[in-house]
Amino acid sequence: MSDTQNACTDARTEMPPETDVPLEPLLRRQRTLAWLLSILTLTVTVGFFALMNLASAVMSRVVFGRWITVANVAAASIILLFLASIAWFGHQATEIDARLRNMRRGS
Amino acid sequence: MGTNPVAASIFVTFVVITLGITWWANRRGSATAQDFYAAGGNITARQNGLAMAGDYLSAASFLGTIAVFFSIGNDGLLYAVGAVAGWPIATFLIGERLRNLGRYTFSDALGYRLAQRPVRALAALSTLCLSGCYLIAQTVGAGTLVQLLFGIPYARAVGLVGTLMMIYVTFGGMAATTWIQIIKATVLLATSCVMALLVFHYFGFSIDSVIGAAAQTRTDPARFLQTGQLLPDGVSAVSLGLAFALGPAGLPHVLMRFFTVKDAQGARRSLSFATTIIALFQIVVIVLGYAAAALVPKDSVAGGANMAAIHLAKALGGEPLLGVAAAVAFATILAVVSGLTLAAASAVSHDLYKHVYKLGQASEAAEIRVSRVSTVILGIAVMYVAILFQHENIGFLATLPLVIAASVNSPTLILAMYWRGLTTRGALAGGLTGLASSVVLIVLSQKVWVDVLGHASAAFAYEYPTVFSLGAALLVAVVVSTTDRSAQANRERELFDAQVLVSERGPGATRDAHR
Repeated sequence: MSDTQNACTDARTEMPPETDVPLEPLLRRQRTLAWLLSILTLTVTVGFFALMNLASAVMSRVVFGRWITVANVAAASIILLFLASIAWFGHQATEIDARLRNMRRGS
Repeated sequence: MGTNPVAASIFVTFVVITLGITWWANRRGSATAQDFYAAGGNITARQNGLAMAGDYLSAASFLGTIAVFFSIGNDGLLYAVGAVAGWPIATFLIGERLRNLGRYTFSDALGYRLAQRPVRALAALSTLCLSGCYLIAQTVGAGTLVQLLFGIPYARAVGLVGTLMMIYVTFGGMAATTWIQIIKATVLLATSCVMALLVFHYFGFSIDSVIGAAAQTRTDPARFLQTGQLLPDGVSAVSLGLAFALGPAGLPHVLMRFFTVKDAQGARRSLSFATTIIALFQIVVIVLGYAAAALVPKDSVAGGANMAAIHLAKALGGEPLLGVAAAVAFATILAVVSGLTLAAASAVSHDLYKHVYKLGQASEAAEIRVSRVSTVILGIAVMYVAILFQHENIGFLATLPLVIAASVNSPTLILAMYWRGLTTRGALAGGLTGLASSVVLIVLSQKVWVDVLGHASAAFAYEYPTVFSLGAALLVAVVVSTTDRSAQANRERELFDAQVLVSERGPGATRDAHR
């Protein structure tokens, strides 16, 4: 193997198959969803970290009972948001899983 | 503190069981590379999710996060949220594609269309830096814990951890490491949940009461609720947030786990399962953090704030629960260091030895032999450095690898898999820039330059450098790739379509295209 060789030796002359066109829109939708949810996760996380430092007065304000602050509520909400986004992504992927499984059976 | 009989017996039981698993894994077969690196691909998604969670729920997650709640207050929420943040991104962008493109390590995916030797050398270098930092953090925690529990001198405790870790990895490979993680994660979760139930029972099932009791132990309760005390400035806060969000997608010992399941769907399900477990665990840790602040006297904590979780166990359930919690925490560290060592040894044997040095021509037996020898050398080196770093804060040490992972592995992997324009030169230049800038800026920061090396003031003003190191890595990778007009670069761009096909539809997709 030379310095510049890669692992894609078989694939380099191949093009995407044309027999499974309906799969492509699903994959495109999943790709878009993946990026949207990733950007959302990144923004929420970095935003939370920044607010905890820069907006201490707001984050330390009590909103429930005598001691539960905005920071507590925000932390719990963010963790639940992450779980919900994972569940949604997994649910959307099941259709693609089924299509790919059928394709493999067919081939 | 003298030897705790409950802790000693649970710890000995854990060691005996895990050594038994190692013996079983060795007999069952760890002779082929597929067995040694990927447990034969026979792990189910649920088992793998539990093992992934086990890999990530380290001493820093359990001891370190509770220590921040205990010593500072509400800022502990940063670590709790941060610990979950990276997993959704790893699920959405990395999991399935990496599983479809690779075999044993994440550099297999990097080398799919990029030149193998240079990108594997880069991946191995970052893996060794990152695993080294992580291993030191974990081993320091283990040494302190064993010293506290059994009255064993720190250096001897570190030696014990190092020796067990070398046995697990050398003889059991990925199969043993996976099952040790599964057992450890189950026991850790069960113990934490029991402790949280006891806390709620003690405080009348009211989280408001737990937080209130914690705040009222301080002379100024309002200060306990106040955020912004942990990090000195906004740049450090954003940097730490970026490290938490992008770090897990670049941790080599976590990425290796994607290859232990049979397909990409298994990798995605593993990640979903791991995220759920980690999220639930962090919610429990928040409760335990406030409870530690409420129930453990702040001025008389043997072993320092990092041992607050262990003292909380004693406050809740006396000596027996202290023994259980301490043994579980120790088992946690032992399991995590095993996974890290396997990842580091794989980087040496699979990437450096087989693909960089032997140009892909080494036999599987020779590759595994190199991996085992690397494990022993790494183990000895880590034990030595852990003794030097005895007095460092565990939480801080454990976040360093996340900064490196978020500055090197994650951006390189994401660009390689999603951006047609990335070339080998761009990946190398960007990766090396991210690695050098993250390591140098960490060394120049207050925590290392002043606190460890004893200089008068920090040469780098911020505590965490991810904003700069990640930004520099991305910028350099993009600029070098777009200005790369070589024939090799053009061919790598052309191969992008084939790579997308395989990464989204599995290895069979190219074969289907032939038919």
